[in-house]
Amino acid sequence: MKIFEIIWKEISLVKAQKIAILLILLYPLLAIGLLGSAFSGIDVTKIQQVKVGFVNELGFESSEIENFSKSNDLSIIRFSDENSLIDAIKQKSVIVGLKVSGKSQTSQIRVDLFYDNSNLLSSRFFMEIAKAVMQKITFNIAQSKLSDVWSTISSLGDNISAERENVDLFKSQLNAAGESLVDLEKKLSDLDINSIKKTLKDQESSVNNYSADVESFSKSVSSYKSSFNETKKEYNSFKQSILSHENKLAILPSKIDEVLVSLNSVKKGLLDLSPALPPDEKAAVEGYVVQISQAESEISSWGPVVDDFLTLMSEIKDESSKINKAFLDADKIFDKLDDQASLIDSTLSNSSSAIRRVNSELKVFEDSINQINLLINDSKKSKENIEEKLNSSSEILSSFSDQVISFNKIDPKVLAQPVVFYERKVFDVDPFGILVSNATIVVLILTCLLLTSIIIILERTENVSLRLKLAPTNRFVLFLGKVLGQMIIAFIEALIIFAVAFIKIPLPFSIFGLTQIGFGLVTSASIFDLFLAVMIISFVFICLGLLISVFAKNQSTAILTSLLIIVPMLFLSGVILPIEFMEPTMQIVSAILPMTLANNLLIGLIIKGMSIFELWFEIGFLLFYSLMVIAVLIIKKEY
Amino acid sequence: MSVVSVKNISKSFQTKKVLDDVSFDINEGEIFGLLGSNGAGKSTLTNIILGLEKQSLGEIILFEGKSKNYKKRIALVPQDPAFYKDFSVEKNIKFFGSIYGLSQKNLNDRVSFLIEWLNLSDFRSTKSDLLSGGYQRLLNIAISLVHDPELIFLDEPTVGLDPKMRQMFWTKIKELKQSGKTIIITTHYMDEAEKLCNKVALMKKGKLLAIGKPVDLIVKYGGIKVMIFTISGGLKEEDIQKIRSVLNQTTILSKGDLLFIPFEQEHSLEKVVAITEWLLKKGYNISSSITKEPTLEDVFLNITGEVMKSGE
Repeated sequence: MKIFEIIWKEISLVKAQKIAILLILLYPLLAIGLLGSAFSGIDVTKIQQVKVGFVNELGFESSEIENFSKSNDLSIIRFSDENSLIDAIKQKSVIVGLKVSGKSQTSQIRVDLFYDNSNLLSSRFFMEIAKAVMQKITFNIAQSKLSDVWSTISSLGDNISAERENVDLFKSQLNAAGESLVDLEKKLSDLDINSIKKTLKDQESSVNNYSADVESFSKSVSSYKSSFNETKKEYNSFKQSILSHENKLAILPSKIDEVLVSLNSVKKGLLDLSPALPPDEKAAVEGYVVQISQAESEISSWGPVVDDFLTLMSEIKDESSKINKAFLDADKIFDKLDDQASLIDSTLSNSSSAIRRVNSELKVFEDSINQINLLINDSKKSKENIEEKLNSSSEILSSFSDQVISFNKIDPKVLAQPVVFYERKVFDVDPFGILVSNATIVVLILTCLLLTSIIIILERTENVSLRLKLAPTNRFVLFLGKVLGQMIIAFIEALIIFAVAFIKIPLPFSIFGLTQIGFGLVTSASIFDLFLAVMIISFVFICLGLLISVFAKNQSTAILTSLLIIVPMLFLSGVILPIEFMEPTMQIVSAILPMTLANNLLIGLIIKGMSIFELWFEIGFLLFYSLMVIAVLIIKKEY
Repeated sequence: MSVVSVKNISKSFQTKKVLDDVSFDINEGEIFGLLGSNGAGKSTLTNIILGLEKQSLGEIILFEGKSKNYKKRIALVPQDPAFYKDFSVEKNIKFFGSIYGLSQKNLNDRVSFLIEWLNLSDFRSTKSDLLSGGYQRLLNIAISLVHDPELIFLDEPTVGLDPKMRQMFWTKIKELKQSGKTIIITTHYMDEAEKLCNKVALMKKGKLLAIGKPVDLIVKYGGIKVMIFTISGGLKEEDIQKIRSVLNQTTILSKGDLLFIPFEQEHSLEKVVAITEWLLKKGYNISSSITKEPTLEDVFLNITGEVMKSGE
């Protein structure tokens, strides 16, 4: 399989270089061994090792703060004032400092956290630990204050709950009252008082009018009736007399007829006799028949008179019947009048009943009024009840209000944030300066150490070093030329870093969000000191590169060896991992590592504002390393 | 004048002796060939002469000990390119000239001369890494000669070069000789040494086996003619022994497909014919047979028992 061949080739190529094998084996051992021995002894949870400076400037007694100063969580060292605390941090006798101040228990506690901004990683880390411990205390303070508030709110909750029940009760009472009022309203709406009043008034006047009329009419009718009865009596007597004449007249025509018949028969007899009778007797009988015919005409003339009499009688009778009828009509009228009177009586009776009905409605109304009164009384009672309970609620709310007002005395900020932290840098330079130092150191060590060793190996592998050895040039000149050449590169690199770090040139327009060139870091370090330090540091790193080139036979070995020096130094110099995390012995080792010394040198200049002469320890140690390397180079006859 | 005087030089690395009592002189204007296979001690001896290594015993006298600053008078042309590959041709020559302390004018003159002389004019500003292998070797020479040295060490100067370039190198080396330079060549190529060198030294395992003019060494150690058979698949050892016994010659050698039969006696042609017939009868496939005059290779073979190939 080709892939296995290629894999084996890769391994064989590495295997072929003994130093590479050594480094490959040494690397992991060194990395884990060195870091393990440096850091494994440190348990960051055992932070008693962290020395924290403490200044208490509280204007009141706080048991929590007092407990903090006796805390077992940290190694607390008390200081009298801020300045002595800052001095202690500068001298590294404490890692971080805390100053607590505050006017009263109801005001926020101010905690100034002082940290060594020349040692960003560890100082900030431990500051965070101290902050965390303070926050724990803060939490306790907040908890106690909040528990007061909470219990108040809790009791208020109970009270509100009870009040809510009351309100529900009020609600049901009000609902009941509402329903009653609606009912009442309905009843009231049914009762048209004005109409009743009007009806009553009308009825009253009608009844009154009727009463008067009926009275006068009754009187008139009574008089008419009595007159009529008198007339009727007279008429009846007249009628009786007429009827008696009528009876007598009634037989007259028949008597006349009988007379006429008798006369006729006598006449007829005489006439019959007349022929037979002598003419004197016949004249006497004709004289008798003329008399009888006269008498008959006379008697016949008596018939129309009797008829007239009878007619008259009949007319009288008719008139009598009319009168009777009139009497009957009058009786009817009187009956009608009686009916009218009874109707009037009935109307009056109706009016009375209407009045009674009105009275009954008025009674209902009165009942309703009574009900309203009852309701009003109930409502009054409810109102009194509600009022009583509202008074009770008011008292409770008043009590709560007092309690809430009492909270006003507590600054809301105190509850939300009982302790306010202010981070205070010990050195008046932006911590960015540390990054400038770190960046410079990392760049210098990588370029100086790697470039120097790689270039020397390159010269060696490409036989250029052979030419250099054969050349009549002095070894020192070759050494100096190489070192100065690399130092110029280091100088240029440092120049770029410092330019970007210290210069600040605003751009007229934004380029990809960039509004300025450079970070504008302000430092009191002199440029001369900075570049002198860079030269010293790069010289040491170049010497280390030269040292690597003595032992490394090819570029890969040189790179591995360089990294073998660089990587542990990166971890142990405090650039990545805080030195304070290390075992005390490793801290001493770390302190004298070239990278640590170089970093301290630059931080001393950039952050602490020290002069290069004050940093004699670092410079001395770095130059000592250089001399050591030069000694090895001379012994190895490299130069 | 003896430019280099090697006197009883011995060199040991721990228990291993890499040079064992080597002595010779190289005179001015000579082309001295230091011949030997790998591990013969040529490079160690060269380094000792150049002052790059210290001998365990013995003495090196350069320029009869008259020159204190001999480094300016000697040069090494390494086998492999030895220059900054990122520099241009001119910059490389100038830089190495500068470390020899040449004045600017002298340096410019030398650079121009060398570029012209070594046909590098077209590549003056070319990055050295971009030159072909042959031109890189020429640049290597130019750099080595920038300070106009009197004694020049050429380490395997034509290894890996094509025949045309090789011829050019030989021409340049001869021109250097004509200009009075003393040249020491270490080479594997016997033909190169034979054609270029006035004097050669044959070394094996740190010992100087023979020294002298190539012609003298050939006469002395080269033998006469040699019949060389090329037999496909080579000869069986028993058959080689048979031929040795028939011809009564122990110097018959077989290397790979080649069979070397020296001719030291008159009328031996009949014997060769007989052997040829015998080999054919035995079933061997003889692809070619040539008769070779003795050369320095033969000298080397005869003295060291090792075969050194020609560069051609």
